[in-house]
Amino acid sequence: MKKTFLFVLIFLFACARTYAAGTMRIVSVTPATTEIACALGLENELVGVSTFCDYPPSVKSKDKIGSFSDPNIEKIIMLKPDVVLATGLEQAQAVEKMRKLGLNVIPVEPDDFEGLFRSVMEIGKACGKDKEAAELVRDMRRSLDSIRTKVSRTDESLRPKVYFEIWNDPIMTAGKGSFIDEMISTAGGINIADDTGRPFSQFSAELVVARDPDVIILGYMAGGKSAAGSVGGRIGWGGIKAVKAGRVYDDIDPDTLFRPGPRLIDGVKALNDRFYK
Amino acid sequence: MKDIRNTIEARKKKAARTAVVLVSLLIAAAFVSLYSGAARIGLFEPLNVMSKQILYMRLLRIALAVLVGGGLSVSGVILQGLLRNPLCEPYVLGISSGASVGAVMSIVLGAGGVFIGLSVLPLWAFVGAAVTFLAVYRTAEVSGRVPIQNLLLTGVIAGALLSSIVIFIVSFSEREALHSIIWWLLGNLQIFDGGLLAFVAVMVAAGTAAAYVFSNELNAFALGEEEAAHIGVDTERMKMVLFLTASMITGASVAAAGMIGFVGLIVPHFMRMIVGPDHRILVPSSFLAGGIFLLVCDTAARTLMPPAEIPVGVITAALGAPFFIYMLRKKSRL
Repeated sequence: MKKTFLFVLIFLFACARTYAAGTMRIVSVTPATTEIACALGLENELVGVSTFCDYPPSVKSKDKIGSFSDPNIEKIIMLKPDVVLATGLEQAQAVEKMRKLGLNVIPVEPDDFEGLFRSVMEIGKACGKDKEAAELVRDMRRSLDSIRTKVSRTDESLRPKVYFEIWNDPIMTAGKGSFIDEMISTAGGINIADDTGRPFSQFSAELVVARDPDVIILGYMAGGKSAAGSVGGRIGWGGIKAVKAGRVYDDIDPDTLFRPGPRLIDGVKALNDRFYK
Repeated sequence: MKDIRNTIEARKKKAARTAVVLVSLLIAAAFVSLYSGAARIGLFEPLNVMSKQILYMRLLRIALAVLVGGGLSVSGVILQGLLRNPLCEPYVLGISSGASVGAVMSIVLGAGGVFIGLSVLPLWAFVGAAVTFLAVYRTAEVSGRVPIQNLLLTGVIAGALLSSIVIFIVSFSEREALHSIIWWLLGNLQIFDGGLLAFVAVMVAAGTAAAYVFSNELNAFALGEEEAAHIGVDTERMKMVLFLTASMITGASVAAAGMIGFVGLIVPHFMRMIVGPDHRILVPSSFLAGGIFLLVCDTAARTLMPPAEIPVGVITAALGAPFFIYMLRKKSRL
């Protein structure tokens, strides 16, 4: 009886505090959840972000709770957050620890657009922005649908074969089960590596030559040299269609390709643009 | 007298036989490797432009595998011989960790937008290895001499320190860069850069030749440093030359192919069991055996799970570790 009373008291107190302050206190430990929160209009409620969070640019001035891979849990607790937004995979241990300490942690780990929409809804629900979340999801769906409609007008046999390079040494690519693969097919390309059977892997360099992609996208900055030059200069790769046609691109912002947030739509648009140039 | 002559004759014959066997194995392995891969190229199929390109790529990769495998094995032979420690391998002096720091720096700075080109990373890695070797050697020096135990300890400690620097940089870098560093560390023998391959070839060939030329001195060191000095070996100079040789081979290998483990540890042991401890035979046969071993591992790495590739370091460890444990147990039973 006494215990129940105590719980009720704590609960009331917690509610009172939340409502008295009027605003939520949100800590976001990943760049993607930070972008989602801001897209839901929660920027002012964000009281702590990771050192990797850089979009929208204004979040850079927020309190830092450590890096993405090593969030500082003491710092998070001191910020007294109502909700902590994190990712389930890389931060599994940190999530577990924070939960043990009684924090309300929302881990999200989407691997496709449907999963991303669910994550947006979940974050919206936890932060009292259900309506905004539904709106954001509707907008994203609409953008994707318009790209799909555009793509469907091109005959499947005319769609470009695409090689997406995540890293050059060793060469790594994205296969089935990755966001990149879904983004490539949504944007109207055919991923030459969709038979690797795993989201990310080292890929056979000779198979890139054998499968002869029409477009090569580099998911990193090729830097000093031109992208086409750095790829075309590789031994054996000079005859690849994409290289000969100068269709090697490194100019898509990697954050719009790898960060599972609202800006992935920009990534799909950019891919579509490069595929049908 | 006749007996001794017979024994020498028998040894020479055995060495010649081993050489023939190893060279044939190497040629066979290279041939099989040339015609296996994710892209199918039939043996009797007429070649078109594309299949020629692919065979050329495979040929260069085979060359790199043989050079790196052979080089690391020779480096292992030198270090095990000089340090008289069976656990020594090319990475024991911290050279590879130095190379990793160089590589990681290049990735991180590149990701920061300073510069990133295809052959910049190996260059950084090699510079990292060279600087580490010099630093370790100078630190281990005591009044003009470099005691071997000092060198070993300094090397191990430098390796630990440099590894912690790599971990520090990795933990503060962005997610994508972080992953690629780990993949780089696991080793890969795909080569896109002819200049880099030529560089590795020169370093490994020069290093192996030096090890062969000084194999009598290595034999003397096997008796102990003091004993080597007694039979007229200029031990301080020899140590400098041989450690430098082993380090340059290792540095070039790591720069071109990342940290491929176990080759430099087990191949020298295996060959010592087969051809005996005489470095005149051990050095060249370890080169050949190391080349074959890494070539076979790399062929497996690129053909077992097509179109994906398995990091070759995983294969060498998966084959090497059980084998090494087996050998240790066999040895301790004797």
